[in-house]
Amino acid sequence: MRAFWTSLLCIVLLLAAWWFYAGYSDEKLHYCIGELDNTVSSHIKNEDWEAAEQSFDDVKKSWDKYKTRAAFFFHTSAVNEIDYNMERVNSFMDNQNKSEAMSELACLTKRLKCLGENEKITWGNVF
Amino acid sequence: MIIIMIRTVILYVLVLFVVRIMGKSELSKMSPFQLVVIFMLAELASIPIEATGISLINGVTAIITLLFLQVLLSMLSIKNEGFKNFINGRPSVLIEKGEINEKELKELRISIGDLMEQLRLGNSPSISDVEYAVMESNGNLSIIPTPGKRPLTPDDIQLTTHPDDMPLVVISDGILYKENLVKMGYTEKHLDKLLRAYNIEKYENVFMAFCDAKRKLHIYMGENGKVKEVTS
Repeated sequence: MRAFWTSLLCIVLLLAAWWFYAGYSDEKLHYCIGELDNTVSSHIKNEDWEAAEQSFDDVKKSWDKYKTRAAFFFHTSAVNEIDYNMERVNSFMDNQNKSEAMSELACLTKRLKCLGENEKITWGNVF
Repeated sequence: MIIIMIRTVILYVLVLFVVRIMGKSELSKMSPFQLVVIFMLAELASIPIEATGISLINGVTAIITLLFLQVLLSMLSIKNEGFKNFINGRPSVLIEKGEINEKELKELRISIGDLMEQLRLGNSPSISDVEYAVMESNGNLSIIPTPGKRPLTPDDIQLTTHPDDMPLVVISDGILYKENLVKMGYTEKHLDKLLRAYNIEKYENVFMAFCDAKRKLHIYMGENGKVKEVTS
């Protein structure tokens, strides 16, 4: 019986950690995706590079803070890919290249969405 | 490289913990399910060690889930016989009262050659010497010989026997196991006296000492890399 309670405690601890993390992750990813989709994207469309860089920096800071915790749960390569995308967006914005910045931004947004969706409890993810 | 070392230490401790919680029966691989769990555990631990890109938490989660499932299923198996038979399978009688059960052999896809091989491995080369042969759920064949071929026991000749004690180690590598000493009915004073009779002043000079089933003390002294036995 002791073995059962110990293993149950381990499972509960893991599930509780995951539950807290899932809530935190959802909130952070939602913020990043929303900012990229609405604010950064519209600034780039309007070629307001200064405002675009400013709002993108906020997203990047939020991502950097989130990724230290995300690294515990996600595949390192998935986290690294998002870092590369962010650098590319940054670079295209520095060069004021609207079309490249927009396409890279779309790619980054999709990657962030996938990061969250891959962890959701769905039949597709299970199988 | 250091990362792999750290991950190995973490997973080693975790697997040790899991095996300890699962209990000794898991290591005996008594049932097919236990065998599968041990294989899966080894695989689950090795993947996150080798692939540093994979999150350690993922490996830990899989191992802990396996632990929980295994403990839960063993508990349910104890409580419910039907469930136990479903999970572990039930033993199959291949030879019953000296007769081969062909139906069971066909069902288990065991040829006569395989059966003979197993009987030979079980020191029963002739089927006529076998009363019962049972294929256990872990795949081992238990052989019960015919009464005429069984070894003679004290009961057969109505010989009175006395219960034996479990042999216990009293000193190992110079360290005294006080609990074992008391269990065998010795005191430290008594032991010191016995050791002094063989010119042994300290426990450090004893390589190993144990009490046998008749409570007789056997002392193995380490001298110049050689071990010498004296019996009290």
